[in-house]
Amino acid sequence: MLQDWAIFFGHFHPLVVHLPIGLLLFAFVLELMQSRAGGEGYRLVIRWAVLGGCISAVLACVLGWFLSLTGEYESDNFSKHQYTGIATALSALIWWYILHRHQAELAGKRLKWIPPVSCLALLTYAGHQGGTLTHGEDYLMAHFPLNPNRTSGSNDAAAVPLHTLAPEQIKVYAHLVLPVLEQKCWSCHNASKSKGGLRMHTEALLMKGGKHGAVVEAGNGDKSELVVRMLLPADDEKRMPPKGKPAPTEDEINLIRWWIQSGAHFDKSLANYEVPGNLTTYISGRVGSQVNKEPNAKGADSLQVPEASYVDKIPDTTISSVPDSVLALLAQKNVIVYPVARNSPFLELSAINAPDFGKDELTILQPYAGNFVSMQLDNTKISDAEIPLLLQFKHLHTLNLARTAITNKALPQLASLPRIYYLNVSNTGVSADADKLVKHSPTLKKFYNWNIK
Amino acid sequence: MDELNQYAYQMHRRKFLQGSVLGLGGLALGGLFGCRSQGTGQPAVAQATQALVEENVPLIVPHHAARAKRVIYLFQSGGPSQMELFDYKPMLASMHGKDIPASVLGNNRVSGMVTAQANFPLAGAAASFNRYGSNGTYLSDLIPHTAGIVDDICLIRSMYTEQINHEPAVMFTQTGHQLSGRPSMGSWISYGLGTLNQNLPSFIVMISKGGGDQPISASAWGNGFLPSHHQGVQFMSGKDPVLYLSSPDGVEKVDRREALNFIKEMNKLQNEVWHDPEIDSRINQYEMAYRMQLAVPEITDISNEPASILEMYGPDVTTPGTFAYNCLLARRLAEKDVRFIQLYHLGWDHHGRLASGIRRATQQTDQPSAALVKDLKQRGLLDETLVVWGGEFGRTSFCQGKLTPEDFGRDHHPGAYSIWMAGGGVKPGVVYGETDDFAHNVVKDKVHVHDFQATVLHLLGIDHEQFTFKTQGRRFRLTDVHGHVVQSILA
Repeated sequence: MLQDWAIFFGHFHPLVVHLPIGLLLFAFVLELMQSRAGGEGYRLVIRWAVLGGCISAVLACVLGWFLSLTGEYESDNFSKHQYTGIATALSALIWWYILHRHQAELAGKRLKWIPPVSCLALLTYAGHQGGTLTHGEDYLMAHFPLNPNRTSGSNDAAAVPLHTLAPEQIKVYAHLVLPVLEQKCWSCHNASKSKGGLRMHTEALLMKGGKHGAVVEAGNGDKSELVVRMLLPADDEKRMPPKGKPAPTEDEINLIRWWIQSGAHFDKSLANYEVPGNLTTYISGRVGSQVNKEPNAKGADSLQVPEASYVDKIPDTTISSVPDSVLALLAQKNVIVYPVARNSPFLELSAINAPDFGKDELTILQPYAGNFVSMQLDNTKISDAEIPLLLQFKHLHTLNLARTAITNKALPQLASLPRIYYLNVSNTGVSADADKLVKHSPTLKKFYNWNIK
Repeated sequence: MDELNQYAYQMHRRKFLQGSVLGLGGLALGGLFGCRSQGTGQPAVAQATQALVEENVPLIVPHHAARAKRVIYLFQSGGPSQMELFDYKPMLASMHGKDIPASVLGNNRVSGMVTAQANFPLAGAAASFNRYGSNGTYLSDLIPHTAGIVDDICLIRSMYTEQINHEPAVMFTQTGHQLSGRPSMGSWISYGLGTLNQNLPSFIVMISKGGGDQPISASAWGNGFLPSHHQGVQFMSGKDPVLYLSSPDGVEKVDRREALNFIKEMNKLQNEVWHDPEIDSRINQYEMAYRMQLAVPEITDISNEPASILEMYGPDVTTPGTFAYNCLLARRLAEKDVRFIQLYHLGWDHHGRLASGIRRATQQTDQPSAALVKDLKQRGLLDETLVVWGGEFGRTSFCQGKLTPEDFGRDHHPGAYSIWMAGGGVKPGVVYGETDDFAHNVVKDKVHVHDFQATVLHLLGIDHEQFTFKTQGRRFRLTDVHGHVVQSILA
């Protein structure tokens, strides 16, 4: 019971420690100002500030000791923090005692700087050790801009970029699972902090478990405490990570479950496993390439017609963007142009508000023809004469020429566009049996030649 | 808070930052708001200001390449019965009149309209079923035309929702939340992707006449917290399809233009002072209305539609305001690249006299729905148009009221219902999901309303988790904090 109360108050330690830091620093600054300005004007304030610092430092020490009763802090860092903390409180007391008793003798002498400077040095060191305990070993430099090894938001960024590795080189634990544990678990289960007796920063300790036993039961993902705890409702007090800490996503939990389910091996690579369907998208995203080349579509349904294969709209090449001046010119002509996707240089074009779209516009676009993957030219001024210009648009995937003046003559050429998937020549001069003129295209799956007759 | 402050808070962040001359003001603000570096290599402050600038800016460019450019949502309000249309359950006929087994009913809540019933007798379907299409999919003889396009549609038999009453369930399906006040799916998409045709609104709504007398509230197509020019523009039947659009008698086009120019100048002056996004909306709306004065009559003039096309849509098509007429207009709007075309057909709420009621509803909707898909397909429009057909929930497999040999009714049922989708990157000729022998519970491949919404956004190139609008201190999504794209039905 008594210990419960102690631990309850112990949790105020992180709050109270900031009082001596503020007060002692405040006193030190006043001391500096006073020695520059001369006189004794701040003397009384300094003494009270140091006294306040002393009291709060002692209180912080006591509360810190209470907090340590939880048994979660057992490491070198902890004892360093403990002893320097006590030393800080002592040196503050000495500082105050000297101010109180020997103020007059020391006035103007260099000697008077010994107590404040040593107190401040101890304070800084103890504070840093405290920070290390709470936030982890490298918290101070992790975001320092000049630090070449600084960790960015996600911890795996520092490692080799995964998309450069072959599946045989991508270790499921080291490259996929570990970064998740590092981000979502290590802040409380690490070298210097062992909440619930559990440390997860080494493979051996992770397998050893905490004070309630093992957390990883190899081969049984659903029964492993590690997974069970993460799947509890958010407001369950046993849920991990607890409320307020960054929670793992569903994909991350599934990843860990799958890793445990398949044996919790530390050395196996992605090539040793078949990634289950619910993780293919996520893992493909993490490693930057498609895993399980043929995704298992069995779950979909048993009745399914094979569908014409879809040609991806975005070509697998790089190309520079169309300059803004050209886009502005098109906008002036009421031609709507927009990128096919985020950060893609490939564009879709619609002339639905620009019925005069024709030779001039296509000529302007010639230098950038490779950028366009889709052109909606329904009801425009395109005729057979413009076909040579259109053929420069090598990446065209979708081309709508309905209600234009084109004829059969244009079709064999249009069908030779290397990536053409959709071609619409409805309500044009094209004859009803024109589909045989486009048969030679391996990519053209959608040919529309519908006419109101 | 007084009104002046309200205006100040509504100022666009982007404008504010531009107004503060890009540099120091923005940097200081970034610091004040306490944004932290996410560590992508940029200085923290630059990132912080960037984050501010990017909040509440429409996507315009989709996250990934879209498979659908536009959506036609044929909303069947009232709760079409899955057992009479799409979900063949012979068990209901063989157990006709017997109580639904307790193991099937489970703890599912029933509505207040049937809680007083002493028993829940099962009722066999008031329709007969046959197999259609290359997969032999069972469909009801009430929907012969839909049966004719079964190889073009993806039928989902495993939908479920959380709401049991019309208004909240309609809101949930349309806005992702049961209370009214959130933006409708069409508003989200209009806001997110913008318009493809400067002469027409990107979100248009049509409600058919002659369905039922149950009302549907306008907040189903409301813009919620999004700028108000993204609300659905309702087309009425009659000589004036958009209210107050045509100029009054005696006002010439030139006069109208001049008046609008003057109003625009005034609005711009006001906007420089207040930076209120609603002033932008108002300017947009005036300009849109002016362009619509030309574009809308062209849309609603169906006199040049050939007889063969009119025949496809059925005899109702020439009567403005019918579902058939609205389906034809939907196709004409799709041809004009309107992003989101929302139709509502009322009259599916068959608590009693189901057999005659559903016959009437299917007579009004079956042929036009199928005709729309066929018409889009022959014109090459179906590839990039997503057509959705469905209501807000299903109906119970047990009878509401008295089960007589002639007639019976079915109550609301959120636990399982069917919808279909076609075109726009959805697998054709597929049946997805299964219910139990009573069409009461989903037993395979459940699709929640949020999953459906996530899938629609995905087909439009939008990642539903990344598509947010921040208001009242938090970011909102169409899918709230839920939803998974139904990968298996993507073509």
